[in-house]
Amino acid sequence: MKKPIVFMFSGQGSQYYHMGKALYENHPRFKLWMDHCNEVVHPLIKVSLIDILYMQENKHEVFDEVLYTSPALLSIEYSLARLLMELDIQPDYLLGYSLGEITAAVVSGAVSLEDGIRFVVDSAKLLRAETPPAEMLSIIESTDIMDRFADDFRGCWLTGENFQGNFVVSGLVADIQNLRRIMEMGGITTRKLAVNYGFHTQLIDPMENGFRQLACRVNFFENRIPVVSACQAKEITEMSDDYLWQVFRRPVKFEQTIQAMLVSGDYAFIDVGPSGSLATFVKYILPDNSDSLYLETLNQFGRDLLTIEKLEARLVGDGLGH
Amino acid sequence: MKAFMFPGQGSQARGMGGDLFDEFKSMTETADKVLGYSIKELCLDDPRKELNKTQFTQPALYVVNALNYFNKVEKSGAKPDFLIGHSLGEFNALLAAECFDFEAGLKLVRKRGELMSQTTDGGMAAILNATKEQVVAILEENGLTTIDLANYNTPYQVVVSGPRDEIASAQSLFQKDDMLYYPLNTSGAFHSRYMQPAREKFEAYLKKFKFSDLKVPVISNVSAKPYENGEILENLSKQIVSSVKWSDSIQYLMGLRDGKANGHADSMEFEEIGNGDVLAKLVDKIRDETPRYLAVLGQADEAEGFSGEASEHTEEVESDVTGATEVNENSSDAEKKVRDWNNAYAIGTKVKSSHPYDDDLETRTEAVVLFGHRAAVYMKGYNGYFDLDEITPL
Repeated sequence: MKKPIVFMFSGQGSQYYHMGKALYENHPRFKLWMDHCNEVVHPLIKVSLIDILYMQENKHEVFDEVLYTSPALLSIEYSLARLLMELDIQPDYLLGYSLGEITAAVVSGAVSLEDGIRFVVDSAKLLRAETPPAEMLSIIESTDIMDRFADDFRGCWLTGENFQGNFVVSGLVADIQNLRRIMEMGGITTRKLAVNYGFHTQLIDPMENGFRQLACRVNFFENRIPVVSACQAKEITEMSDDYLWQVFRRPVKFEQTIQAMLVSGDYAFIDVGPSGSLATFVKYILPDNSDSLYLETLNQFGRDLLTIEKLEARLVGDGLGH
Repeated sequence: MKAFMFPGQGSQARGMGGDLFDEFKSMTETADKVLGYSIKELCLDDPRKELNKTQFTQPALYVVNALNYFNKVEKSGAKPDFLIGHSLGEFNALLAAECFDFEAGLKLVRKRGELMSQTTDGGMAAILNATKEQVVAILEENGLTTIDLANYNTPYQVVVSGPRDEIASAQSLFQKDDMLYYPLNTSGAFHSRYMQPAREKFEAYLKKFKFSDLKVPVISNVSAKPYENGEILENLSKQIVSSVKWSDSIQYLMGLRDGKANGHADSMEFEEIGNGDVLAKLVDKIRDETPRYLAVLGQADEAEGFSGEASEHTEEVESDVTGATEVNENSSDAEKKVRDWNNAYAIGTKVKSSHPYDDDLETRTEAVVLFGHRAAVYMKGYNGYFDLDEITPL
């Protein structure tokens, strides 16, 4: 039986400068969609997203300015999704991780591209204005250590469960830096994410009122493609202002979401984000004997075109493409 | 000169209207009475998720457009020289021209929304980076005879409309070359032949109303030229099944000149009255895209077709609406200038411009009538049209 295809959209932290650059320069269809997104983004952030992403000599710098990373992620992921769909790789489900849920909403048709872009730009402005600087740390360990080292995790909140041996915490800068030092002393690997705000924690509560007003401006329609929420760990059939706030405020239950899907069978999970991180998470979640696939479209090694070709070949080989 | 523009479906959003419902209490009460529900609640809170349903969207937009208009007139005293509205917005343009009163307009719009919402299984999609000529050609080549063109939004943005399955299956045809396909969220195939049943019922309803002569010229979606008194009913009925010629209408307004305007810059000021800035953005795009569009037409040697279309309009224009008569004269005058020029001068004629800063120039096309009434010719190396009045052959 043909495995349903799942497009997965990653969130803050998966972005980097020059993401999708090779594709932008070599694939005219991808470029068209990116330029189309940029036409919407540009007036809102007063600068060309394309310039920020590709033109500057910033390749090795950290890309963490939320005002730019938010529309950049949405634009890259939307353009990638459209590119795959034009190659006749059609998703049966859309699965978003944090900000990626907004991309899922837009690709599904529940929210228009214009509304989606305006919403992520405005909410980024709100984050900057009303919430304190914070950090996010990815920890390569089981969440058990949060209980075992409860004191060290004080001031930090569990914000994402990626797979058994990997979770994310957020907190104020000092608390996260402290935690990171302790974890490393204990030989536990951590990675600081390129995110400067306390998504999925009470640190962003000061923006709730403003956020709900922004959410009010978003027009919701019926989605044309089923959407699975990593915030709710299930398929959602109706979006609302409250849903958008939960996406920002509640922790991400990625592992639980994938596990829930696997109950009903195997899937081809395609990471339609810039880093391939969600494909990696799925790889570790899948049981050894699983027939599900995990694939990426872009990664940080800049071989975008090759990856797309491989993806196509793999799907065709599995009878899923064309 | 100033044109007020009123948006149509797609511009709705919760929160629209804001404080205006309280400021214009008696109009809001009238609206509630006609509609049988609270318009303020629908626009601000939308507790039953109705705002995106056509039968609710249309009255909501009409009321918000109207409140914005009356607020504008009251606060600034601004008076438009022209009025125009996109689809549903045309009812607000006619209201502002005093063709009917607020309540009558609302009744019409409520009926129109109800009738249009009754058609289901329709779909619409925006095609970007394609001209209407290209879209028509692609549909014809592929035998897609069931799809109509619903909107000419800009020279390079066209909306197609038809049965939902057919619209979906046309997708692959419109994601080649530079074209982008963007599906729209509508329940019906608006502005297409599939609205004929709605049109017939709406026409019967329209007959119950009296329409006054327009106080300010209104540009019609159907014809892209000023409304004539006496054709209100027919136009409003036809509008449901016809393409919204928005791009052509804006080009028409851009082409109008008052005494002060010079040949290069269009003098029309456009102001969007209502929620959002969809139409203002379209105007910017039309302004950007028009030279390229006309150049392509010129190169394709279709300039004849373009001016031919304009002359057809000219013959039809016979109006007592202010502005329209003037346009009519401009138009036949332009036709003659173009004919005379093309009889006398070949493509490639060296000319001199009356603008002191322009070097000697060379024409690249035959002269054409732009926007229905400007005699102009495309200039090599300049990438723009020059008014025939402003150039002298060398």
